[in-house]
Amino acid sequence: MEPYEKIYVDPAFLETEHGQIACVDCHGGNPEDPNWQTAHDNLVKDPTFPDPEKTCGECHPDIAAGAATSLHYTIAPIGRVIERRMGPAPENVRQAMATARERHCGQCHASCGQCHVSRPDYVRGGFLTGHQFKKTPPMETTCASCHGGRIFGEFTGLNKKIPADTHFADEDMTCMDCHKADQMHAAADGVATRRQSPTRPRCEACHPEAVAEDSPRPAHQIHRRKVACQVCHAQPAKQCYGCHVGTDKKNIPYFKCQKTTLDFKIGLNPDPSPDRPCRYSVKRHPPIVPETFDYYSPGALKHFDQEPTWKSGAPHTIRRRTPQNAACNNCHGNRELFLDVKDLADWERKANAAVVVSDENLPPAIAPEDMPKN
Amino acid sequence: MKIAAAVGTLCLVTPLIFLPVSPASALDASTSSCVTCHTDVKGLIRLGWEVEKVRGKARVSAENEGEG
Ligand code: HEC
Ligand code: HEC
Ligand code: HEC
Ligand code: HEC
Ligand code: HEC
Ligand code: HEC
Ligand code: HEC
Ligand code: HEC
Repeated sequence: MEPYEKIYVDPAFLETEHGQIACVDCHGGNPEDPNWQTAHDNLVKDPTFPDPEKTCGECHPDIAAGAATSLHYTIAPIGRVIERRMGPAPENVRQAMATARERHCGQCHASCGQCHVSRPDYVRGGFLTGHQFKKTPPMETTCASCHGGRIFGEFTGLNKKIPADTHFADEDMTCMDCHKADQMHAAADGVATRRQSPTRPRCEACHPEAVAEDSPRPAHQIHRRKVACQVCHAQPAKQCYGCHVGTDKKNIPYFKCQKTTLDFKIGLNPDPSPDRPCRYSVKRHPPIVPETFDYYSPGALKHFDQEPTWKSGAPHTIRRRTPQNAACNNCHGNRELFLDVKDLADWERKANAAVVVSDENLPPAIAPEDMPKN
Repeated sequence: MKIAAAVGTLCLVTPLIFLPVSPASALDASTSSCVTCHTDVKGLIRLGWEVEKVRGKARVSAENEGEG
């Protein structure tokens, strides 16, 4: 994108609903001033963050009220996980960690404007199209700018040798076919993690036959409410290891990540609930290590073990047939697929005690005479 | 709040929005340097490099390693 395109307002915008509102009402600044630099004094770059109420609430009251506490606005769960890994900490440590979070997580918040008007700051902004307010954010620019590292690449098949998700490859679906406005705008005050979003999509809502008690397919009937769909239908996804963050000589934040792999690991769900009953789910390794924030505050993550490093995840690599579901015993008795203590580094053993699959929890190989007939 | 008041006023005139108003009458371009400047492709291209200077170059650290 050329620099000018980022800020070129298409005259067609001025004929839309939002184009009727004067620039100054949303952005402030000095519209009478012909000098572009001083005209921008006291400019509000994003009038929808952190509070969308004033600029959008008048006409979109429900959306604005909810969005202000939504996960995309607050990214609060990520902060809470870091807090749990810190535990009680003295003020100087809290301060240093607050600085780290602001530097490294600041560009990950998505506002109304970041989804509907501009590209995310994370990719240095610029209009989606000449300041038009787009009802449906474009997947490749908006969602992919922030979710590009893992989910977008998995979904669209950018990972070597791993075919794209069937919903993309065969059905031309986009993120928004499953993650709809009611999820993107949802208030999330009491929501502990993004996995607990009440408006999250559910496989079974679109595929009820796969959880029916009398499902004609034995694999579905036997494992319903015990084994998550992804255990049989997802392919390997990206796992990240060993990231450290800091600030370079020019005061620009950096990250250094040791490695990324494409892996598939099934682990235990440490706290099954009626909402999420399955005992087995597919795990994802986040890039955190005890030393991730040492640049800011050495040893700040004193209670690192409070959270596992293999977390229930949702790889967007769904296929009808996968290597592990092609035959019952590709999975039953196959130690490789299930998270083992041997897969863990010493420092993460304790953190994952409730997640690793011990030999007793490994589903045993099925004898030929016990195989379902159909 | 000034913006809230302005937006409120706009809500009152919302029915007008559905009339085919020309941009020049909706927003008097001659009094808004914002509109004049941000719809002038040539001007923006000329300014482009200056703008990048003010906004600063892409703040991507040369020390990044691996996938973020
Ligand atoms: C003066 C009233 C008003 C204000 C203020 C306002 N909108 Fe709208 N918005 C509308 C109307 C009217 C529509 C058209 C609804 C429709 O077509 O169903 C709309 C539609 C939209 C759409 C869907 C676009 C489409 O093509 O259907 C988005 C996205 C949107 N607004 C976002 C915002 C955001 C973000 C803000 C705050 C920066 C905002 N609006 C402020 C009146 C307003
Ligand atoms: C994380 C991205 C994201 C953020 C942040 C976001 N939206 Fe949306 N918005 C969406 C998606 C996705 C849709 C659904 C598009 C579709 O159905 O085609 C949507 C739809 C809309 C619509 C169309 C009407 C509707 O309900 O379907 C309006 C209006 C709107 N958003 C306004 C806003 C406003 C105002 C804010 C800020 C308070 C906001 N959005 C924040 C992603 C977002
Ligand atoms: C209804 C409120 C509203 C009005 C009116 C409005 N804008 Fe914006 N503008 C926004 C929002 C929201 C964004 C996205 C901010 C973000 O995501 O950081 C934005 C972004 C911008 C950007 C930054 C683009 C980028 O990503 O770098 C420019 C430049 C801009 N607007 C200029 C104008 C001009 C000129 C006018 C008048 C013709 C105008 N705006 C009118 C709400 C508005
Ligand atoms: C500016 C960066 C950014 C953009 C743009 C963005 N996201 Fe996100 N998204 C995040 C972050 C960060 C989280 C993690 C929030 C948390 O866990 O606290 C998240 C969480 C989510 C979640 C899980 C939480 C929830 O809301 O239920 C979904 C689903 C999601 N994003 C989908 C999308 C889609 C679809 C789009 C495009 C319309 C999009 N995101 C655009 C940064 C972004
Ligand atoms: C076919 C439906 C579908 C499509 C299409 C889809 N998702 Fe999802 N997504 C899901 C489901 C189901 C979940 C899991 C919700 C849960 O159980 O927590 C999920 C979870 C997520 C999460 C939270 C993941 C986590 O591990 O915490 C994010 C972020 C997300 N999706 C982003 C996206 C983005 C970005 C796209 C487009 C590139 C996309 N999704 C496309 C169905 C879909
Ligand atoms: C918004 C609805 C929606 C959601 C949510 C959704 N799917 Fe689908 N899925 C579809 C549609 C539509 C198809 C196309 C084939 C069909 O109609 O069954 C499909 C196809 C599939 C297929 C291939 C079926 C075949 O016959 O080739 C599998 C496997 C599948 N989905 C699994 C899942 C899993 C696992 C999840 C949760 C992670 C999920 N789906 C979430 C709508 C959805
Ligand atoms: C124990 C493994 C297993 C689990 C768990 C599982 N599936 Fe399946 N599923 C299969 C197998 C095997 C097939 C057929 C694959 C083939 O055609 O080769 C299948 C086929 C499907 C199909 C295609 C329609 C059909 O029945 O042939 C859909 C859709 C589907 N599964 C969705 C789901 C959803 C949604 C879940 C979670 C509620 C789920 N599956 C859980 C093994 C599983
Ligand atoms: C990708 C992995 C996977 C595949 C494929 C798979 N299973 Fe399983 N199966 C499991 C897991 C994990 C459990 C343990 C569930 C539990 O204990 O909650 C299990 C449990 C079972 C059980 C015990 C159920 C119970 O109620 O205790 C039976 C019987 C079974 N599977 C039969 C089969 C048959 C027959 C097939 C082939 C049609 C099959 N499985 C395919 C993973 C798989």
